[in-house]
Amino acid sequence: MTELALKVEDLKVWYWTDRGPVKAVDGIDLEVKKGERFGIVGESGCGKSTTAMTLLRLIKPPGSVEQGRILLDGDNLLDLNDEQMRSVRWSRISLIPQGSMNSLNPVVKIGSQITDAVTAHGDSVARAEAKAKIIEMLGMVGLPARVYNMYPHELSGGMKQRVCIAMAIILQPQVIIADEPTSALDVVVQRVVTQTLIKVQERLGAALVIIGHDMGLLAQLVDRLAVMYAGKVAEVSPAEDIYKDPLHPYTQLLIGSVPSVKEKKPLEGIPGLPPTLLAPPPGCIFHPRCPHATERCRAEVPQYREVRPGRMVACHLYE
Amino acid sequence: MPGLVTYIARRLIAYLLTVMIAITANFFIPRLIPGDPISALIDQMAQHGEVVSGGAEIVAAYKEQFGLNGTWMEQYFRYLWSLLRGDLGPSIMAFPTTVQELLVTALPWTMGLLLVATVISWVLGNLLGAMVGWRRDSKVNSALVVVSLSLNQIPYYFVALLLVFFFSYNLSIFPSSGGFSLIGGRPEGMRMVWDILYHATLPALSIVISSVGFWVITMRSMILSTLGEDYILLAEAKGLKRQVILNKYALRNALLPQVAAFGIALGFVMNGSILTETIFNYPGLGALLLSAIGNLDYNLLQGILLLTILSVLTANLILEILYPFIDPRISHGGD
Ligand SMILES: Nc1ncnc2c1ncn2[C@@H]1O[C@H](COP(=O)(O)OP(=O)(O)OP(=O)(O)O)[C@@H](O)[C@H]1O
Ligand code: SF4
Ligand SMILES: [Mg+2]
Repeated sequence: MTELALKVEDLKVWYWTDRGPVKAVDGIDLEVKKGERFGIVGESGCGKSTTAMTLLRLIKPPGSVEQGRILLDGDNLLDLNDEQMRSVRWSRISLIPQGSMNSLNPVVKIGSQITDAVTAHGDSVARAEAKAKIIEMLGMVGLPARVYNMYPHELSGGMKQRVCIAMAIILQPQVIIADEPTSALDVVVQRVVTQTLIKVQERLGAALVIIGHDMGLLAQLVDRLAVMYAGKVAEVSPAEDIYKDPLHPYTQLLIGSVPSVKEKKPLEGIPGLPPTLLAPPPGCIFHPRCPHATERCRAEVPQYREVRPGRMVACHLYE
Repeated sequence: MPGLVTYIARRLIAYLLTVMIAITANFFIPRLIPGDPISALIDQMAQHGEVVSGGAEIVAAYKEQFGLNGTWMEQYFRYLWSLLRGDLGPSIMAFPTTVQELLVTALPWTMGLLLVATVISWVLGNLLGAMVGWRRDSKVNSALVVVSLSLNQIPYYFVALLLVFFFSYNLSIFPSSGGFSLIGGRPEGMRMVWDILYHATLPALSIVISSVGFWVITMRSMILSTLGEDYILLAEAKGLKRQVILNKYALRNALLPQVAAFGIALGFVMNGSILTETIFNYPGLGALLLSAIGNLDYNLLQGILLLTILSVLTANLILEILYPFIDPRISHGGD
């Protein structure tokens, strides 16, 4: 057995539109260790949700997985048939979706919706014990037992989000994907819900992949952080290193654009716009906005590699 | 539970108020039609060669008989009073038969035909709509969508006439008119049931064919928009079986607006019955209404309209009371 919970190799996921393929995920590699908290950060539209959905094989046409491997504890999910994939979902990899506000069926009670997940994977024993287990999980995320018998519209946004967390851990999967788990909540609730998520993950020992667009917030939560840009991974580094010593020019600019409370640095912002994923620029995809771009950057795609121990970067500067 | 009681009480009060307004409108509107029924009746008798002497006296006598004497206000309160006693008065055109008797004879035909056909159409349309929405990629289903869209565009009478043309005149499989056999004596028992079903087939088919397309199309679009919801994606992420996702997550939500729309469709049953019963010469309320209008039979007109309004309002009341049970977001407690 590997010590990796999840390994993504050269994954490409494209959306086929009338104007050609939108290369939402275009050859990414990721490794998530068992029990690790792993962050994925990037601007809107860089392919974070597409990546998350692909990890559960939930991409729908016009989207399609063009190539790559997704190894969940060694098994390539892309090789499984539909029924095998169905049984992997939730029991081994679960999801806290981006739109948690609308992720609960409005006409079915919370308890019943969580029970469905148990029933889909469990034997009759598991089913019989489901209710007690669900109420225990609700308690773990700070919800009273009566939520079991409530409908989604009777809950606040924060409570719905907690329900989604409780639901995601009910089968104790090895990997939990949280796609911007708190982005729809107000700031105070965000913090509390995030703490709950971390606490639960630690109790469970599951690997947690958190997706977000706030680099500062994410860096405080995770062990390692991947920075995505336009469908590619720019850099993966331990959270403290990436903040102290960002390697990729894009990461440097991102950190520069995070307002800092201690130092009164002017807010830099990144000049230019992310490229259209329909026709990405040749060479390094970041070169139109990169302050260090050279002739080589415009022609040659940089290799994604380990440039220092534990630090992966795709940039010609480090070759 | 106190929420439920106040909710029902509130609905009931609104219901009674509406009924009251309807009864009032129902009384005055027929009287706005130009002409008066007694003169029409006497003209008719004269045409048939009957001797009509002492015109003015006869008119006065008849008016008293039918409750048409006095001012409109006097008539109105007399009408309310007899309604309270459940008396709809004698029919003018079919005197001395009472309006109740005519209604009781006609109602089962309309209910049996129109209501059953509407329910069949709703169930069938929603099943097909759910199927074509759920399996969008199948060729058969795409063809079904095109057929439904076209059916939805064809006027009702055209469908009805086509059916009569093919199945009665060309193939002689089904009778073209009537609700039962007139020739050779009326059959009894099971034979009678078959006879009635046999006669109802074409009219029912015409209603189903011309209305099923609407339900297919609306259900399909409800399912499609439901399938785009986040909770369907999450249901799939949970590894639920397709059947569970369809039944418990997609259908339950997609059906809600369809149930509400069914309530509205019930309101049009009477509308439909006029056309159907005219084309197929079917002995129901629609046909009765038509002759009531032709004969300016105020009492009968009022009776039919009252019955129609009452059934629509009652259907809606039942739906309003039941709806919160199927959609938890609409609570009995609130408004
Ligand atoms: N169904 C689709 N058809 C075509 N293009 C799509 C589709 N879904 C997503 N895309 C495109 O794929 C790219 C990646 O989308 P994705 O949702 O993965 O981004 P994201 O990083 O999650 O963004 P956000 O931070 O806004 O959630 C975007 O450019 C988006 O426009
Ligand atoms: S490869 Fe070149 S353009 Fe790309 S980030 Fe590095 S320096 Fe900038
Ligand atoms: Mg997203």
